Amino acid sequence: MRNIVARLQEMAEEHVDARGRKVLLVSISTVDQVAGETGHSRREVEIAALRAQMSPQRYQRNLGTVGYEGQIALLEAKVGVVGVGGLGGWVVEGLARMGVGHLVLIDGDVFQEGNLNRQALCVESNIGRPKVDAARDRVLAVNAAVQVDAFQVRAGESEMAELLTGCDVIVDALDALPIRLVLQAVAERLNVPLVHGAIAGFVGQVMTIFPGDPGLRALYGQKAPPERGIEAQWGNPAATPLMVAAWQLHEVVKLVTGRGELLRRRMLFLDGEVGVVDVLQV
Amino acid sequence: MPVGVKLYALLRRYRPDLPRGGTLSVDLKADTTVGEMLQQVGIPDGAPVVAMVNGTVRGLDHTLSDGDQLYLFPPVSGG
Repeated sequence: MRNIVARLQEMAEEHVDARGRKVLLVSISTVDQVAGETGHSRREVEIAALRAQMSPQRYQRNLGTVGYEGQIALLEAKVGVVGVGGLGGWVVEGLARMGVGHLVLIDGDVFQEGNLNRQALCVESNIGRPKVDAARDRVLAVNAAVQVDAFQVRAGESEMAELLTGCDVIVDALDALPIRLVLQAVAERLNVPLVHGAIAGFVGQVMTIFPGDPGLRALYGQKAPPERGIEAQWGNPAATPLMVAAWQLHEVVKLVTGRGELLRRRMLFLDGEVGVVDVLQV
Repeated sequence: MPVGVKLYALLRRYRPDLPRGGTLSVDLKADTTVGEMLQQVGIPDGAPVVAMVNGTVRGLDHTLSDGDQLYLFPPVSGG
């Protein structure tokens, strides 16, 4: 690690920040060069830089919010995203940009034309392609330091538990109620928090559920819930998944970095039609 | 007995008189259930609704008490 830091210090650019302090900035090409010279991964070099109070340029605008320690925590985190459609596509994009170091992506679907109106990763040329494959390509295009494990599978409880083992946080970006309840049970079994998000028409909801919290069981009970909520009637326009995924992303960042106050036992319910956001105690 | 009711999303359409974000104060007879309250408020039978009473989701047969605070919102599950 000493070699890495010494090389980075030689190659970093000095910069004076808004508060007049000197900061050593490290570019992607510098990170890549040092990674190549020392036989470490890009992520390891970025972490070493941050530990030595050097700032990879790509995370510079994160640091004021999460700090060096927070950025290191993000790079060291493993986050599972289950469902890579309307919510999951934006969540994955944001996690890669924030620099979450390891993503586990699970979705059994391929893109269809009906996804084009709202799903970040769906474009005309990839109709028919597995969503997780497009997600992996996108993550690596945004941030090649991120390790991506992508699984094109409609996983049941035991398979999800297996694939998500080792995750620090799991994101519920699914689109049906019964499987969401299964995922909550999986997160509980793995003893990790679950960041739930759901959308329908102009409305959406977000809640962070810890093991033992009632979470979705409080909303839908123990009995088998209906497959779909009101989105079956109201559809899913473009803006709502963006809004809800953005809140989910913040919850993940807060969980990983230990900052802020979580939407725990509180459900954010937003109604874009009238411009009202409420937080309900759950 | 009075209870407070907040309506979310399209459920507001059943009470256009209610100001945005406002709480409806409903006077109920003793032992009124959630289902009966929905009827009294003007929400049609079978409308998809989750009824949260004082922070806990309750079924249609749950009996309400004086001063209960209710949030009524639709089940949302798209992704």
